[in-house]
Amino acid sequence: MTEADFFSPISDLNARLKKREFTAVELVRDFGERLEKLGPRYNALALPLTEVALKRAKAVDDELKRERYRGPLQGIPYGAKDLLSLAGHPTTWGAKPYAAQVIDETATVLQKLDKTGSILIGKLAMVELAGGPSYGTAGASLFGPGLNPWDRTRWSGGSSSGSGSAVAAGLVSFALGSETNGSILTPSAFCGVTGLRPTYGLVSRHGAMACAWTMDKIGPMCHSAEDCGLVLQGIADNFYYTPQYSRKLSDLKVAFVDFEGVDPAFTAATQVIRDTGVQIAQAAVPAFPYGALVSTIVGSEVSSVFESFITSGQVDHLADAQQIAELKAGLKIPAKDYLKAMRIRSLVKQKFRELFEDIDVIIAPSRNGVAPKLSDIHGAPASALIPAGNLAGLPALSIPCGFIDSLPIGLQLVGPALAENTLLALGREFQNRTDWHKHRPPV
Amino acid sequence: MKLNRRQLMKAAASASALAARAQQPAPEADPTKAARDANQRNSETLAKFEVPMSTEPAFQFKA
Repeated sequence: MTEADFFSPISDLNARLKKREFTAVELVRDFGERLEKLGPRYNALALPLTEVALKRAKAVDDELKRERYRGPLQGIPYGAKDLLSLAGHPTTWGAKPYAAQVIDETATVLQKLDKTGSILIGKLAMVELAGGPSYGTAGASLFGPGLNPWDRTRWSGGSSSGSGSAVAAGLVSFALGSETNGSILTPSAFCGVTGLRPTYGLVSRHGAMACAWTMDKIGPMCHSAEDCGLVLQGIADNFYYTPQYSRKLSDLKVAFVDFEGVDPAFTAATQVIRDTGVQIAQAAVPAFPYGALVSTIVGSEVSSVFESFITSGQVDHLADAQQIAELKAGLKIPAKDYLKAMRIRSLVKQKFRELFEDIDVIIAPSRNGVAPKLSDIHGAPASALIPAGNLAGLPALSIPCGFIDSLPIGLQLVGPALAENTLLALGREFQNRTDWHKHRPPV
Repeated sequence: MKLNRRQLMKAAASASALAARAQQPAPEADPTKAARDANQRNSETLAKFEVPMSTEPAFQFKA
C-alpha cells in the first residue's frame, strides 16, 4: 500500500477490496503493522489486536470471494477507544488501577461493527477514566500524554486522545471515541480529523465505561464527514445515513456564534459555509452557568460511578492529582446542587429547542485555537457551545477548517436532536469545497 | 512597527486572555482544597440561578 492509501476514504478502500486490488488480510496486516510501529510514537496505542484481526480478515476475504457483501464498512480496519470492552482482552479505561481489568463482554458498538464486517485492529489510548470530573495535565493517562501527530510537543486533545492521533496519522481507517463534555470534538479539532458526537441516546453505551450516565455519547472519528456518516450508520440503533440529502442547502438557516476574538483563519472558513448558499441567521448561545452545571452534574455522576474505587483508596493510584481530588470531592456534592443543576439543565434543553425552531445549524470554532503545548493543556479555550451542546444532548460535527502556524483547527456544526444527516450534508459540502481534511501530518 | 489585521487580532486575543487570567484566582497548590473550593463556588452559582418551581430535573425514567 502507498502512504496515501492509509488515508483513503472508507468507500474507496471497500471498493478496492471488492475489486480484489488487495485482500482484507493484506489491508489489515499493513494497517496493523503501521499501528504497532507508529502508535507508540504518539502514545496512541493501548492494545494491538493484529493477530485476532487477521483471522477476522481471512473470514471477510472468504465472504468477498463468495460475493457476500455486507456494506461499505466490510473489511475496513479500525481502532476503538479503550473505554469499550472487548471480551477476553484488557480494557484499561486508560487508568493504572484498571490496567489488568478484563471484562467478559464485548461492547454493543463493537458487536455492531463486527456485523458490518469492519475489523478491529487495536484499542486506542485515552485520558484516564475519560477525564472523570476534570484533569490538569496531559500525562493523565496510563499510556502517557497523547502526542499530536502534527507536532509531538503538543497535546492530541482528550479524552479520546489515541483515537484522534491514530486517525490523523493514518494508523486506522477510522476510530471510535466517546464524549461527555468535548472528548470527541477536542481531539478531532487538535488532530485535524472529522469527528461526530451523536445525539444523546442514539448509540448504545452498553459495554462502555460510564463517566456520566446522562451525558456520555459514543461516536466516530474519521477522515471525512462522509466516513462519519457510514460509521454512525454502523453503530447507531436507528440511524440511516443519507448521502443524497433531501433538503436544499439553500433552505438551511445557519447561525455563527462565538467567533469574536478568534484567529481570522476561523472566520475565513465561515465564508466557505456562506458560499454554499445557506441562509444566515442571528443567534447566540443561551446564557447559562455552563461551567457550574457541567462540573456539578459530571462531578456527581462520575463520583457515584466510582464510589467504591474512591472510598477504597484505589483512586490514589491515578496519574492526575486534580482528577483524584475532584473525584473525592465529588462524593460531597449535595443532592440539592445536583438537582438544581439538573433542573437548570431542563431550561437549557428548552432554550435550545426554541432556538432550533428557527435555525437548523449553529456553528462555532471547535476549540478557539490550536493544540496546546503539553505543559499547558488548558491553553486553548472552548466555545460555550461544547458544554451547552453536551448538556442538551445535541449532535455536533467537528470538521477541519484550516491551519494556524501549521497546526489544524476545526469548526463545530451543532443541530437539534437527531439532525445528524443535516450536519453531515453541510460538512460534506464544506469538504467538497475545501481540502483541509485531506492534509496529512508529517508521519 | 506596523501590524497587519491578523497580528492585531492575535494581540487583542492575547490581551483579553491575559486579562481573563488576571481575574481568575491563582491556582491552588493543594488540589483537595481547590476541588472543595470549586464545588463551593459552583454551589453558590447554582443557588443564585432562579428556576421556576414547576421545572423538573432533566431526567427520563424508563419503566
